[in-house]
Amino acid sequence: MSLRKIVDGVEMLALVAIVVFVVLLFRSGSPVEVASDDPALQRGAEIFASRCAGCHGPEGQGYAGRPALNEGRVVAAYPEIEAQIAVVANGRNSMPSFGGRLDESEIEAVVRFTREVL
Amino acid sequence: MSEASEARAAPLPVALSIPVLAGAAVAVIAGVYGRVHDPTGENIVDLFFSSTANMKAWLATLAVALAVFQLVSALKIYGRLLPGRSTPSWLGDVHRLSGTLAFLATLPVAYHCLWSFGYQTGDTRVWVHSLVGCVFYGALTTKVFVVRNHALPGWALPVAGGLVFAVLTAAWATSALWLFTEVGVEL
Repeated sequence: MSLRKIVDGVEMLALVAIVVFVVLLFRSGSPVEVASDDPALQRGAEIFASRCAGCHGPEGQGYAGRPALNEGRVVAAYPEIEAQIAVVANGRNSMPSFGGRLDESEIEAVVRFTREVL
Repeated sequence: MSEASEARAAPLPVALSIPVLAGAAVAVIAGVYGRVHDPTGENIVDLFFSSTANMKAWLATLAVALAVFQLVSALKIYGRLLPGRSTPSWLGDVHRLSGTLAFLATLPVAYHCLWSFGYQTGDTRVWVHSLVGCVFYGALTTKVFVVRNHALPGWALPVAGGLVFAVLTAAWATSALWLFTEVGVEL
């Protein structure tokens, strides 16, 4: 097989990859399931998936050097929930502030999710 | 300039506007998707790497290495590198192949960025990375249009190729290089 045909074949593969790429962009995710019926925890799971999991991992296991939150780590680091709420609201170091993007009930919901579900 | 060449030069803005508008459209669509789509925050395949983050960093590094080869081979093909020496006949095909492979290497990276993270503006690095990531695919689209339009002036292709190289390097520097320096180099 000539080099030109290989190149043509790889370019066709790239076109197929573009189509697959676009289709997969519309695949829905599967966030962490919450066993509790508490609507605040359900809402917290949604917020965590959309706002937090990008840095802290989908299950709060940490990602690319960002801290893990799961398995009781946040409770150990912040025994009082108010302290963790303050970090989420005001930000800390490279973590952005969510005070302007989430209201108080949403921040409390996502903080409770990290403490009670992850 | 003769009347005939003036007549050929007249539609240049129109001829340039097609690749530029196509590239702009792709960049904007990527950015709008990233902004509107709810980020899933989920990982995708790791292949044989220790994490999705490391897989992305190494694929992006591969893409940059191939882009460097693209730059060097383009300089050779256009006689700007070692002009006294002949250019191998296969170099054009290998140049095309390296560009396509570089593009393929970026797709899993971009997919995870867009689908899992979305267009984020949390801090300067992330904001710049989101921006140049979208601009990269726009610039690449523009370059593909330019390379197939032989009526464009000779400077159009090097400018488009240089832009692709620059934004890819910027996207890599704000992600893979950051990961390697801040977190560490691991597979």
